[in-house]
Amino acid sequence: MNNQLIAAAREFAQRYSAHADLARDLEDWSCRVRLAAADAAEAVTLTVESGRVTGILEGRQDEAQGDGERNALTVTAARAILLDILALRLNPNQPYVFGELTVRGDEADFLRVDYIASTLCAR
Amino acid sequence: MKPAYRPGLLALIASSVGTAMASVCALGLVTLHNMLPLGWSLAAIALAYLACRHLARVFAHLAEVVPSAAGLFAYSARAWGAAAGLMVIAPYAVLMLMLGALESLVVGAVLGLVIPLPPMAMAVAFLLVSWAFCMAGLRLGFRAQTVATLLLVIGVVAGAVALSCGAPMQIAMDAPSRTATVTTFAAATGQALFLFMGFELVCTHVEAQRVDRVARALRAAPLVLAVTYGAAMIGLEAAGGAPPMSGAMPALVVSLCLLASFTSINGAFLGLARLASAMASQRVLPGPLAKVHAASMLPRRALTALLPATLAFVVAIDAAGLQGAVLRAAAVAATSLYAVALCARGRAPFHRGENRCADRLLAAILAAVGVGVVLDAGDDAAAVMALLALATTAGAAAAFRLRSIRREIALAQTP
Repeated sequence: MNNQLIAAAREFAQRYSAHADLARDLEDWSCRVRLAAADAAEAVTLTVESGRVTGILEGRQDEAQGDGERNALTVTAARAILLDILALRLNPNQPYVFGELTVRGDEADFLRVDYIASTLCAR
Repeated sequence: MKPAYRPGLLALIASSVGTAMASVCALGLVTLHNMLPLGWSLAAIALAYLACRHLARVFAHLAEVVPSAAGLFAYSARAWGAAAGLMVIAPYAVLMLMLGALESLVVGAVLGLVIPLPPMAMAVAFLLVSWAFCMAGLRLGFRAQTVATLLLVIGVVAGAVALSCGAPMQIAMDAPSRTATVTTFAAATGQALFLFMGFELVCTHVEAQRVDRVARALRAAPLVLAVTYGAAMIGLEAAGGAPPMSGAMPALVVSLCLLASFTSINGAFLGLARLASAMASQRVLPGPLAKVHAASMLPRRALTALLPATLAFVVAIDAAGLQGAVLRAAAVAATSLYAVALCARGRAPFHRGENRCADRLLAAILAAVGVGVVLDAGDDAAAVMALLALATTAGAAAAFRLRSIRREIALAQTP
């Protein structure tokens, strides 16, 4: 089951990397983004360095909910919502404003993740 | 990687207090002073404080279950569904715009004490400068806000002490022109609640903060506000309703006003722009407003759209003399929003089987206080009702639009 979340994250990262403007816009951004399923013990972590995705790793949910780490963003939502976002079927802003997706970390990092997904969704 | 600055408890309390304390609060305090004798005014502030103390626990619980910067929008959406969330937050957004306009008018009037220019011109100039500050991607940092709020609280309390010293005064429960009735006291409590409105927005920091720290800030901020407002009421009573504008007083009032207004309007512009952008991405508002500027990560188009809307409210409020009506409408909004938060706590996913008698009782009291604010409005009652109707209609229209869009999407996805 977790392979599906990782596979979706890889596909998302490929789409992001193929978007030259996005990579340029975010070249000053480095962050570890953890996507944690709220309804399953599944998580995936994407490492972004200078705007480029440099790693995608499987991560357990308890790791993903760790507190206090700098430059790390944890996005928690139902697994189906995470898969929809990674497949660009859903803009993350939508579940976010309606409280179905929560974020742990700095607002600036989430704004960038939202910017990436919104830009890719709009294509 | 450069680590982000994480504010401490003091900074969070300052953020909560600074958001609640705006220049329109001075108008609210004067209104409160004119409604009731000092003793009853202080009782209204104390009652509002007790309500906020309970609300602090409620908001801490809501933020723990749904730790979202979307705040009450997210809580009500989880409790009753997305359209209901919009129905709650859209009227609030409209009233925030009106309050931003009123704030600018107050700043214009106060600047008139030291600058010989028309107050309206200075109100518009203040709004433009604040907007340009936001557009440039600048926002008041936690450290700056902490310093500004500390100066504001110390300035208000010191000013009140200076006014009270040497002025023979007693905390009277009656005064010749200010009679305390049940309706007036209810209205005054509503007005006092308006003075605390915004303290709960510290919940929006829950994404980057420990929930227990946010909860502590939530509990502490109403006490700081109550003490500051209580001192200000005593000072106001000693000064006979308005501080004397001589000596260092004009400079003090202008400085305090600018500190209070800038911290409030900066946050309001950025918050409302993000909300407008989010609504545009849901197609509730025109799609182009959703666009985020890459370098600043700001929804600049939404920010730009807010400027003419706020300016229109500035002109309308000034021309129609709606200052008092906007204050009362905001007081009703404060009681309604807090009642909504109390009700949301009783629904999934927030309800965990606790006894909710206190929540229900407070929600009923808040509803009664809201009614009292309207009943006591006198000549302003029709204007207050019209403003509330405008805000509620905006909420209903937004909720209806969201439902229609969601139905369209569901139909399109049906094989």
